[in-house]
Amino acid sequence: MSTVLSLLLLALGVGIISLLLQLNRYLEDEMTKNIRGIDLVIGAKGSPLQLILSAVYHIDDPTGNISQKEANRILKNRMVDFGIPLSYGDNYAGYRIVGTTHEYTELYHATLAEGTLWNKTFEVTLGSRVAEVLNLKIGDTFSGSHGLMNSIEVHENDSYKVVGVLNPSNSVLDQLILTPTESVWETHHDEEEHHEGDEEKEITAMLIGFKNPAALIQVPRMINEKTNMQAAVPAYEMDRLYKLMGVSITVLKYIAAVIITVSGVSIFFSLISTLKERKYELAIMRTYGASRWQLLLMMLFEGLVLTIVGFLLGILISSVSLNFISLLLDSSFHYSFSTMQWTAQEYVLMVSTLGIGLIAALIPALNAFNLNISKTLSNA
Amino acid sequence: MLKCTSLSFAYSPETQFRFPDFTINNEEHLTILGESGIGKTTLLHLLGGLLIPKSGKVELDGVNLSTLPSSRRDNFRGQNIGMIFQSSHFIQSLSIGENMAMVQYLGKVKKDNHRINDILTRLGLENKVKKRPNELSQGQQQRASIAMAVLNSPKVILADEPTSSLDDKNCNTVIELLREEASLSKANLVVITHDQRLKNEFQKIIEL
Repeated sequence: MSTVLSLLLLALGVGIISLLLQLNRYLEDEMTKNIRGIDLVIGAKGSPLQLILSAVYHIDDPTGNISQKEANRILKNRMVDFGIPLSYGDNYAGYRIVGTTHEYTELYHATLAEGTLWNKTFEVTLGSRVAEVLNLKIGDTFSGSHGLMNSIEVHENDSYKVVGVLNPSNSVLDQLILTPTESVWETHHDEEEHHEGDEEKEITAMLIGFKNPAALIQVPRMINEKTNMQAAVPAYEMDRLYKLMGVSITVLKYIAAVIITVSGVSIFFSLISTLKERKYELAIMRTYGASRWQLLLMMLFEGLVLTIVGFLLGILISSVSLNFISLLLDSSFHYSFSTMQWTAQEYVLMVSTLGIGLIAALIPALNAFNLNISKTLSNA
Repeated sequence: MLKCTSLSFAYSPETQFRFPDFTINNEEHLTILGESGIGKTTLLHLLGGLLIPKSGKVELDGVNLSTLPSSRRDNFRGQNIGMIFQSSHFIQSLSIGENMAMVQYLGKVKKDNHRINDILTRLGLENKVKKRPNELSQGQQQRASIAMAVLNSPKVILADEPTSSLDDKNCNTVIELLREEASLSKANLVVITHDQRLKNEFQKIIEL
């Protein structure tokens, strides 16, 4: 019984650490992958982290809209390499409809699986996952609904038409529906009829790449001080987010390490107590020719087998939870991740777990080594 | 050939034992008779190399047990000395057949299922191979421990009170079995007991 308990403890500790390692690695991976190439994000004033989360990862609400004219002025700066406008505010079945230019696909090196990229108003090209989950094909039409989450308010009169589907690019594009910026303007123009004539065109955000990293020192400050817009540096904001998350992850890791240590202690006690019960059998084995060393190795081996089983159980727990979390994320954020990765960190975890097993078995093993056979047999 | 010379052992300065010298030659059997507390089990453990004497030596076919290094002595015992204890001893989580296989493994003797079956059949345990030790009756357990003791064809079989809890009929059966197995293995048989019934069973007798 006590052995089962120590096994469960060990599995729990290993499971938590392994899960944290996986999640941490996944998040970092996903975050850096989507930042790639984007030096700066321009959007309405508000929380810089919110701007990054909404414009780069599409997992938060936008901070507001900005004037396209004002944003385009930034592009004239000679240090700016590219600027990709993003307009969003609508969704179809929970997947965001983003008005943008073809440069957005080039940023993530996305390629077409079939059809073409969007060209005319209300033409859309789908991210691979959108096409797969919603089962949409070229030629299909649908109407967007207002808001970024699935809602009932549907723009009845505007029909989007699928003209192409992208290959998976392992980026945020997989979860998006891409269309010309004009589609988004049209949709909202129809509803806001009070706008007459030459209204001011608005976009939600702009992704900026610089020719020269030195621009990071001047441009953001210039935008924040001299315009109505806000400039946020994704690398910097994400770094801040990691540091915040890092604290809780470290705390969880310590807790898990304590659980593993406690399981080591409990393996120690369970081995000691079985040793008492089996002293007799060990003495018998000696009379049949087993050497002290064989008994020592046998006890160490037992500790090792226990920890290997515990470790494997822990990995099982972690991979099952990982799949579960992936399902949850998928249904609420349309993010999902691949299965467990096995890296150097997992090996470190494995070696330290087995080390704990060996240490826990060491004293029982030495007791077996020093067993007084004659005395044990006479006290039968 | 088993030879003991000026053997003594001390658990503490107050509890000391001296044992008489004796020699038994091939296929001779010996009874060591004595009341309890006189050091019978100590002598048996000395003969089996489970204890190292304070002085004197135990030689089996010219090999001095106490000068062998620990691991070699364990191995020597596994191959050359069969021990039968007062109560039968098995690894409870293994079946009788597995216990027998373990004796071969620990004695570094080649695994031989044929021999295991032969011996178990001879002792009337052929259908107990897959049974756990605690599923056997007392008598069957004792026969099984005899089977384990003779399995590796030892040069000497040491038996500690093999008959003390048995009635006359079973006492005879067990002694006959031991005699038979010893002669099949061409082994010396040493029986240590306080059971007066065994007084005249074997060629040699030592009273402690």
